[in-house]
Amino acid sequence: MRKGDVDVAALPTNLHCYVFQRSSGAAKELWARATPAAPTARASGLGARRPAAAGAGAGPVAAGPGPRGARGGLRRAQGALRRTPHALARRGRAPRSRALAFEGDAAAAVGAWRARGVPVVFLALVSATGAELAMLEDAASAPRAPKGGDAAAALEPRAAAKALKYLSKAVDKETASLDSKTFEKHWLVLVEARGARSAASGARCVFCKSGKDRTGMAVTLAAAMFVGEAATAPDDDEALMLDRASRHEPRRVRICEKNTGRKTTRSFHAEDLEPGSWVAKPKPAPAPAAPAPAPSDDGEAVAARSARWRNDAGRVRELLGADEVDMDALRSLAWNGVPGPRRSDVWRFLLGVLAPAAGDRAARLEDARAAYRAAVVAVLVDVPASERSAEDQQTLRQILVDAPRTCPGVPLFCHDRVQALIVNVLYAWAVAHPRSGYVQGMNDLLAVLLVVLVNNDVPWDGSDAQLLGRDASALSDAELDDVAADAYGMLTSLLGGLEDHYTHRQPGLQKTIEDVDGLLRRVDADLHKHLDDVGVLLLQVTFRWINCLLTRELPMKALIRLWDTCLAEPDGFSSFFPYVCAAFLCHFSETIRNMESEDVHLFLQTLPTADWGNDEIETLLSEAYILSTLFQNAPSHLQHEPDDISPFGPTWEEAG
Amino acid sequence: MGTRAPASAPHLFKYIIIGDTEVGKSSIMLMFTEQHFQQAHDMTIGVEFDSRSVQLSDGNQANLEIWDTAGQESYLSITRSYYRGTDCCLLVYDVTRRESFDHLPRWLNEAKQNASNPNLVLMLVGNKADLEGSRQISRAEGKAFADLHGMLFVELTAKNQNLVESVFVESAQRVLAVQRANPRAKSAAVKLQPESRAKKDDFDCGCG
Repeated sequence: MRKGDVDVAALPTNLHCYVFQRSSGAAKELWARATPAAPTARASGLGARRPAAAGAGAGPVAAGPGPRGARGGLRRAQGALRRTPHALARRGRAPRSRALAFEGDAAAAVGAWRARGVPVVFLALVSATGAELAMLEDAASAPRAPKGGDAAAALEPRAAAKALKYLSKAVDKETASLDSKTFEKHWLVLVEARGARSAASGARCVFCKSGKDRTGMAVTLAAAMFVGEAATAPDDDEALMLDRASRHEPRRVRICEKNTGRKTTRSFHAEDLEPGSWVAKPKPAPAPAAPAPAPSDDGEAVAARSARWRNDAGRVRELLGADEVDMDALRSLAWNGVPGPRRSDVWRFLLGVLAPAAGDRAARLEDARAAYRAAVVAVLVDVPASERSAEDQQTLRQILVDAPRTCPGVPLFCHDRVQALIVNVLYAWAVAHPRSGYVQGMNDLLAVLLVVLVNNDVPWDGSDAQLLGRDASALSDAELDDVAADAYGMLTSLLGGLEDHYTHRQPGLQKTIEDVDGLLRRVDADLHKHLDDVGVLLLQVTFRWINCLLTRELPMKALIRLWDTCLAEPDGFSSFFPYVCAAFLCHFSETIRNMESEDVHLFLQTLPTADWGNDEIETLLSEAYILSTLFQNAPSHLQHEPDDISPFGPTWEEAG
Repeated sequence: MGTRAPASAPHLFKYIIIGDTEVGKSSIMLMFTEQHFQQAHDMTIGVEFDSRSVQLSDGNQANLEIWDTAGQESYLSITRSYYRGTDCCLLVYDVTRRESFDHLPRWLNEAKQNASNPNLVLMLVGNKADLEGSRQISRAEGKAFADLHGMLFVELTAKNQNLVESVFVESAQRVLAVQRANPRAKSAAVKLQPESRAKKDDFDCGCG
């Protein structure tokens, strides 16, 4: 709604100003948290002067009767706020906004502020009918210098008009979708309103009736601004206080809990809330246990972790030594990370290359290896180039070109015999799987399997240099042959669940992107909206992640830890991987939301993950796991009203 | 948004590089944006992005946003999502590989269909011209194809920085000339960016 569309006098009267609502006590709590070390003298000094205007009933009121403690806190807050413009002016900064204590109806508030010559810009109004309006008042159309003391807050008509233009655009954009089913609230309106209000030296006013999304956003914004502006002592860390306010503000937490069932959707917020609180209703864990909370970097955690690994390593020995390997138990253990030694054994069990029953394991393994060797001979060695179909020739040429482009520069892969191995495995696989054939990126997947196969003895916390520095010349031809055969078996099993990721039009990949899209809409709608705003498709964000199972995004060590878990899932990457991708994307949400299109693309190409290791991956997996418990059994939660935001953009449908 | 910018502001042109696998698309982009040639590098999965500005002959500055695409056919679906609003398309082939030349009509079709820009500037680039010994496509054959389809034409090697530079400068001049001759045609293809002025101290509440 734009200026003039709303009759202020006709607004419903049951709207309450929340931020300084005198009975809530929230402001005091906030204030106390934001200034943990505020000296008493200063605090009481701030509260010495009472606000001048004290209308009866409606209109701006001073901190009124309420709990005694709350009143003291409110008085301090009031004082700080009243002082803020002057304090800021003294420090050479323009006052950004003002807040007035208020309780009553909207019309009276507007009237009262106007009477004081204060232009008004509403941030958010929730009407009695629940319809949401973002409304502009006469903030800058006829800017007036405020009467009274605030000379420092002189208006800048041009700045204000510009700010209003932006706000009006944001409102228009949102209003345009108001009547459609795709109406989405956007935080941009709030930010622009804040800018407009600030430019007009207007008053901040947040009414909160129902405590829903937009109002919650506005309340949080207002609360954080309140704290930020009240912080005038030179050693107050404003950023820290804003941060605290946004995390702790109790109304916000309640709103979030009401809407999502959780107290926060962000793990980094969760750490400030009481442990375990951010998943409101923990569901019974499925077979693989939830990962332990990410340990911090202190000595105790490191000790605890190495104890866990020692313990797990013993457990792995025990499991693998049994006559019949308990695959459920092995999956459950591997889900939390496979201890380095014997990782290749565990992966070979998870991928079906090693049979659970000890009795015929060796025979079956030898059969499979013999079958692979025969296949290579049949499709490569025994076929003269002239008898190869054009399609096969094309495939072979591509693989020959790509083999040296697999982890270029990494010693392990530079070796001629390893190069030949890569060509043989990929070509044999491609010929046996004509539906998809060889698709670039499969070589990256094979590289991971090879690293694990030749590094059975690298410790858990082995570095990338260790993992990738293995000298292939130390391996005998026979050993490399076995590695090739097992890698072929593992690749076949890995791609077995993912084949439609690579067939014509890549339907499996498309489905995964749709899942990530649904998740993102639910858990980080702001990021979803931002990507749309800057014209970045989710397809473009996640294509390489899904196509190469994050091999291009993570260092080898972190990648292998991630794959431990994904391979331990009952259906491998198929079901769990979308949650991983969603959690991975949300991890970078803040950064991305501050970027325009070009920077988003550049950022995604070189994510700051070079230093990632077990800790980062386990945090990521925890978040993915939580998402999966929230949404796995309720796929309908991921459905949404059709709108014009497609993760694929307009060209995908035409592809073919 | 070059067409909306005032005359003094740099132009913004969107480029896309297409062609068969291993013809040297990424090497050309790398030489242009980072001025070095890399013999061994990862192959492109999907699309890679980079940008650089160039000085045009009339003193104008142009910022080039360059999208380097994967050549394998499996990736046509993903690369199609990047054509929108393209100002200039570089079609690259390998002069030592006939096949990459034979596929040009397909790539040309891709570009015309997906860029949906009547002002689209097309440039044919024959790469690896330093490998004279294994040349399969003569310069004349390349030039004939370019002329037939109204494309700019150049033969080069991605190892030669000056030649790579000239490809982008020359094509950017053409883009500018075409847009000036026919100024309104592009606007429909450009997605409007929001007038966002989000700053560091803005934040969300994570409610919804």
